[in-house]
Amino acid sequence: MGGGTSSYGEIAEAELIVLWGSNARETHPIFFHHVLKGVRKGARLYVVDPRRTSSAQWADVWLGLDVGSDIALANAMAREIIVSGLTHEGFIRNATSGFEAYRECVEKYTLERAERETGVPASVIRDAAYAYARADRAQICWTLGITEHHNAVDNVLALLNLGLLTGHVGRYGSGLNPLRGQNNVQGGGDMGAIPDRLPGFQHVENAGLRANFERAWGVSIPPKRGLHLTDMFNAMEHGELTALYVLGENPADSEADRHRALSLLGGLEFLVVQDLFYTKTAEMADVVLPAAAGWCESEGTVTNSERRVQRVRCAVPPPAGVRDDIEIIFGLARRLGHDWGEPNSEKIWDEVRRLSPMHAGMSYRRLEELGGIQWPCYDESHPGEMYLHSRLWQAPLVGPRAPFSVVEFEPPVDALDADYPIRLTTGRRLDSYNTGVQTADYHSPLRRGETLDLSPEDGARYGLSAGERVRVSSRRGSVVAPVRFDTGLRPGLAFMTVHFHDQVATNDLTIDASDPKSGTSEFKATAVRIEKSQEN
Amino acid sequence: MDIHLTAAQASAGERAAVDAELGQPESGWDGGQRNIGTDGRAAFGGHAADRHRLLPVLHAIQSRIGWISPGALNYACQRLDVPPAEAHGVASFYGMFSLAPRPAVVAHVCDDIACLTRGAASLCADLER
Repeated sequence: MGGGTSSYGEIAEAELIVLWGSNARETHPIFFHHVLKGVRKGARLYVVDPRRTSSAQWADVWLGLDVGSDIALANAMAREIIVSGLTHEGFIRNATSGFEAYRECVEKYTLERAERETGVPASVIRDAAYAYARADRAQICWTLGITEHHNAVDNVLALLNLGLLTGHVGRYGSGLNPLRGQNNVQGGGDMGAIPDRLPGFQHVENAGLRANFERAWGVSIPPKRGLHLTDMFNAMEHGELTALYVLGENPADSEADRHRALSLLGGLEFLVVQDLFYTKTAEMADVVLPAAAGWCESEGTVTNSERRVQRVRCAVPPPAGVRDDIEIIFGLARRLGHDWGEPNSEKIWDEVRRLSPMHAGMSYRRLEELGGIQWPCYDESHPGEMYLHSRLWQAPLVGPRAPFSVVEFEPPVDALDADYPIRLTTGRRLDSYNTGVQTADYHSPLRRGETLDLSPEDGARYGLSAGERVRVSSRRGSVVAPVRFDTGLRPGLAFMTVHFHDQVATNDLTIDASDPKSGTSEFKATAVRIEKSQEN
Repeated sequence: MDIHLTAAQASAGERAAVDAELGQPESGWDGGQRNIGTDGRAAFGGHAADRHRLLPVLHAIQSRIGWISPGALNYACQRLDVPPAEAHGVASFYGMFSLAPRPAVVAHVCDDIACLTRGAASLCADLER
């Protein structure tokens, strides 16, 4: 099962909170309120981020590592915890496997090496390791700074290792939490919108699990996992994928190496887009299916980062000509020769409950009464779980051991050299979301459009003044953007968002090198060159 | 804390007043000279751990400079990691602090009832003359 282990309430009760590759202050502002509650109660906050972001400005300690050096940092912290005797030996012995191989792996990551690879002073790394290991209740929370890399899964595993090493998982107040980017990213995964999973994280390649669904649906399900987004673009390139049905996604703007993405989307035989907005991808589509707004024109549920399934209610009917997603899908099924009857969100939900054990106890009535329920919830007497993996603390252990993973540091794919000496990293700002589909039409007093953010030192080195337009080039493309100075950056490190693609197509620069397991592109690490532009 | 300061800068004297109370700043992040070699890699402090030192710092500025300028308040906030609105609230609350320039010497006279019976009114009149 894939989800954050802890509840928001536990963040506020933690003694130590690590935000690793997360600028939650701007990108998860509601979650950050919980962090601040913790801080006000005396929790120490550590922020690991190449930039000193507005989140990092709240931190007791900010660790300004080089982009993509997270594994070197995590492994060095682990080594320091081990050599200092701060591991949770009982937990490692009773509940984990693979410790010896892991210990051998991290042995190479001395503080000196970590300082060299990450740029963070050894003393600061050691302090972070001690603080994390010694805290009674410690949380590690991460976001795209960890996952938008070519070795995203390894990055995550490196953090999970730290939790296992110190026993900071499976008990109240300690946990390991990916923060989800939208209100229902978690729910989408839970419902099987992942290439290898059926609803409830049941593996599609497991014949027994698949059989339950086949019986219920009266069809046979392909026994092999499907493609993730990056695979799909590769399949388009090889001519294996010629038709695409896109629901609520805008790959024409959001894909790394956008030139390639646009040419592949343009080469499709048939493109359907189902969306609330007329996106750049919708403009390219053969058929556009206008969809209702999920948060107010639709009945159903969403699931947030603390695994809480919550009801969504239809407050206003959608405008004429616009239909709810399930109505569109039911209609499509009917046209394809399968009459599923009238769409009804509660009936669909009850089907989920029959097929996904972790949702079984969540009737609409209970979801309403309890203000949402956190999965897993196996029956109607089950209150849901505040935190996951408590079984790891049972003696004797029930179920499989939690494995340590051997992961090694690998620098970003897009290497810096004399031609491309600046590391560009991307992210979001408080008042805008991703490619701007959901936010660009709303006014914000904070919004300043796209800029190339640089350290004042680089500004002086290149002889640039604030607002001056510069040409930013990577090995894949080139854009022109105005310069803005940010003291949160150091020389050699630049920042851009992807919010304003009509103005500056940042993803013309980014690299589509992606993690083989998650399919996520390395948006966080692009090598660029900056030149004065004639367009001033 | 992500504090938002105005552009007003503290004078050398104002900085010295605050530094006499708090010691020299340890990095560019808390008001010292930016040294990107170290400041670019780590920062410490964060969230008003020194909030309790706000009053002593305001006293230090007031007594050395005679008033608390916007620049001085900015510097105090940067040093202490206290939001400017909060520091301004404290500085403007107490009559002993001034947020505008004052004469070099200020006399405070009590004009409460006990002092009135002992001639506070005529003392004030004398001082004003």
